[in-house]
Amino acid sequence: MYGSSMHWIAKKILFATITWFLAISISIIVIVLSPGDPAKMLLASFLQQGMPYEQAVRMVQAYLGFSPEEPWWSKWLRYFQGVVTGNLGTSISYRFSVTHVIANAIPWSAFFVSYSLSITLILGVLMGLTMTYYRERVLFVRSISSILTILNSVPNWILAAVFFVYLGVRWRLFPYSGPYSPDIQPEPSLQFILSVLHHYTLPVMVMVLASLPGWAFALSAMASAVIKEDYVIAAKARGLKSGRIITAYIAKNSILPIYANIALTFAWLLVGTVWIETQFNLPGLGSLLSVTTGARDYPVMIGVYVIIITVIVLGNLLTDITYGLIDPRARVGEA
Amino acid sequence: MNTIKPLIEVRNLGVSYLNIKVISNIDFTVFKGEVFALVGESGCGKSTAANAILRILPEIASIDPTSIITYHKDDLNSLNLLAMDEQVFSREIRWREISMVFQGALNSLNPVIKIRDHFTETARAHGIKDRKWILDRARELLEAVKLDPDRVLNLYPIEMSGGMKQRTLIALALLLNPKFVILDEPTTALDVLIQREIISLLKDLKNKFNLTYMLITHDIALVADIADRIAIMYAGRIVEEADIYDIFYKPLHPYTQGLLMSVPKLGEFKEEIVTIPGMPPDYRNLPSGCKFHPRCPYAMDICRKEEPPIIKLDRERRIACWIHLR
Amino acid sequence: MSLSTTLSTLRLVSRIYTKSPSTIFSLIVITLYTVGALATVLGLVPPLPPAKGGWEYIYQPPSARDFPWYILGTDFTGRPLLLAIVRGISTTLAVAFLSAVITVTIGVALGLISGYLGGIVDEIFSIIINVALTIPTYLLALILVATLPAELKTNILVLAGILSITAWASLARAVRAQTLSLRKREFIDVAKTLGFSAWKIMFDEILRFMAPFIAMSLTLAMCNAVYGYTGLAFLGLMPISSENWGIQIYMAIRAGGALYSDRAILALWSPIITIVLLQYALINIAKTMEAIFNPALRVSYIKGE
Repeated sequence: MYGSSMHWIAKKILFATITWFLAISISIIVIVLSPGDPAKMLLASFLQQGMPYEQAVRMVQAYLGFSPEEPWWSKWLRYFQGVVTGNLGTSISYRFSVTHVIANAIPWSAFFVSYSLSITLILGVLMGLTMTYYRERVLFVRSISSILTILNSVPNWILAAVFFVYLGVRWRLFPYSGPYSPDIQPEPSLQFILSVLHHYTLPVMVMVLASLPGWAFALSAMASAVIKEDYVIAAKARGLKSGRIITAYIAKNSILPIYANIALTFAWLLVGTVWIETQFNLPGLGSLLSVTTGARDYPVMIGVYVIIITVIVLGNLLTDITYGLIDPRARVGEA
Repeated sequence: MNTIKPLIEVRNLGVSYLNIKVISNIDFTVFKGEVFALVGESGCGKSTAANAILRILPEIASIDPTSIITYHKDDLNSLNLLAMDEQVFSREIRWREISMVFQGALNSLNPVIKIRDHFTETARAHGIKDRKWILDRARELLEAVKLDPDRVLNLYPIEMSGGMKQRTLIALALLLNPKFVILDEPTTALDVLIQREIISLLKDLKNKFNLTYMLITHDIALVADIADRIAIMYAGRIVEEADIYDIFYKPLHPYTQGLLMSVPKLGEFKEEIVTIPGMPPDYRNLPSGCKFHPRCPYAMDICRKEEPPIIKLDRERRIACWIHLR
Repeated sequence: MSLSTTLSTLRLVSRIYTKSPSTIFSLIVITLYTVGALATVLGLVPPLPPAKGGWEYIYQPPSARDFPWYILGTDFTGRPLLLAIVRGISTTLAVAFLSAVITVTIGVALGLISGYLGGIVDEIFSIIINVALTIPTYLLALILVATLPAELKTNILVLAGILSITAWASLARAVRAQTLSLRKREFIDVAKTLGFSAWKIMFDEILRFMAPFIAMSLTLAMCNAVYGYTGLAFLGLMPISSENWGIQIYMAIRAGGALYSDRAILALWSPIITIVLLQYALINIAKTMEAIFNPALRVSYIKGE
């Protein structure tokens, strides 16, 4: 059994690598072939600044890693070479290497997304189970359901904007700008940690509220099906108490089928940081992307994109592998 | 072997799903130490009756307030199971006094926990915390059902065959030493050889642990092997009840006769299988009078108009049929 | 489809849709928006007057002038807010609808062909679908829109295409899964025995079976497109225009001082409500379509749950 699971993990890693390679490549090719080819755009803006042609071409090469004069496949190869060796070019606005700039942003986004994801999962599961298990209390369940439906219709960036304007700026209920209080030193002290958590309250609230309905409804739907299963009735016949039935029977059997959704939610939250980090002035991949987009800092833009895709592929891989470890049904043949 | 003491007395049991009546006020008694079989087509209400005893009917079901199910726990205690408080019932009756062996081919085991956990959680729900005792008992029972305990306890349901699951469910049903075990289709969907083994096993266990069985099945051939008394159900009513010899050698109700004729007998060569003509009844639109009359070869005028009452003939034999009433 | 089955399907559909107040409400909302879009396209709605900068003109309070266009006051260009919002409906719906059509067409085609033909075609298409699933639509869309030259940024077709660039992936996966299971069903064997060609089976039989699911996916795709169109505008990636709701919200916060005064409050909330109503209506209609698609849900819908 040990040998076969290693084989199966290796297979999954292989597929993930292929997917990653194709995803990055196709994206780069699409970007380079589009009318908005960054190399061309950069060249044009350098020329507009009055730079001589030859120098402009060299500058573009220095920043992006490929030259505007190369054919598309060469640009792709050259960039990919850089990706594999860890060289994503140089930032135009920050003058540091793109890798350096991104490396500073990743920890913040990692914290933000994991924090939000955990709360979303816990709350979503609880709400979903409640809506199903207490479905006799029709009014109660229906009001939760209505609130969640309305919440589902509000795009996360609108939620962020509204929370920013009202809960933050106007009513001063929570801090609304920056990752921590400006008069605290960024060192590993309790004060610092508390300040960070305080400053992230509003952003995390937005993230959670935006992704909560999806999870609550998905879980509720699964749980409604599970609750009618024979093994739940059999459990009741054996005298098991509600607590045990809700956790080991209903919850466990409802969460496992939608376990893969965790990876999806993770990717969704990561993309959501673009709006939410920007809105609340937080450092991270999302705000980096939106800021450098405005500043036309193409190397960083593309670099962040590549990193986000990489993180998503890793997230999917992790979810895939761990699923096989926790659901006994997955191990008996690939369904 | 048979004592005349009743163990379970079901009186006036009526069950409705929403507003459709699926069991129409039936009575029956299960005596201590016997194997009582409830036989009928799918949907006739036999499983519902069993579920009513253990109070595991689905939400949409409602039991008539005049129904009484009496459990004679011992010489001094008789309890109305339907009137008991849910918590008390769950703690004292479920699995301790009365348990159920479900159909193994169905999803009766939690797919995401091990067999061992099924045993421990059941014991813990009844206040037994001694893990060692629980596992020892589980081992003892798994061996009694001819399974290898060390292997089976660590398995997940998906890793087991239908026969293994059925035996496990039997072992699980006996965990807390119940007196009364309901067997709901214990051999359906198993192959014939395994069926024989399971029946043989059930007989052994009954003797070994002094059990009383109520067997629910549509397979009348199965019943011949193990039952002492049989009640035939049709459309939520009991149409005939007698001991096993009378049912097989002197069936009185046309439905019973039809059921027996449709089973080919070993050694007999039949050109065609005789089946009961017509379709199973639609509970939203039951026929008038006797519910079986559209399919009955002996239907008379009165059968179309009035429903026959169930009457007692001789020797614990009951029947609901106008032919046998004067 | 014969006339009687069409009629009974329509009867079922209308029964489900008129059952609850929320679906009736959603239908009304969609109708209103469609009417607004058509009115704009047909020229029944006046064009926006020229922009007037300056603090005396922007974010003016509501007035009865030129009824009804000034009842929400003016926006960040001094133009009537209600008019700007109404005029924005047609572009938004056009982009949304086009994007949804592209998404659903590609998704269904790939999923259907991949699932039905199997073999090497399925292997190749599955890899493509998996790769597309990894790329978040809005991420790539963001980069493409950001790098787009100005003249293409207002092109509806281009925007629709960008917003659907990998949006078809999850639909393709779902359609493939359904096709795989349908392929084994008896009615396909019957069709094959009757000599129907593979294409006919795919597009007639299987597609017809999945029609409600496709309708639902179309609606949800429109929802996503509206999110992307307004959301990317909110980031400042689209040229400034009064007609884009995302831009209106952005401007209300940045330029309108919504942060400090109530002056731009209408300009903040009107586009928000416009977007949220549209999303709510679309999601609701999609969920109701699911009831048609899944008969088990149909029962509870009719029972009034």
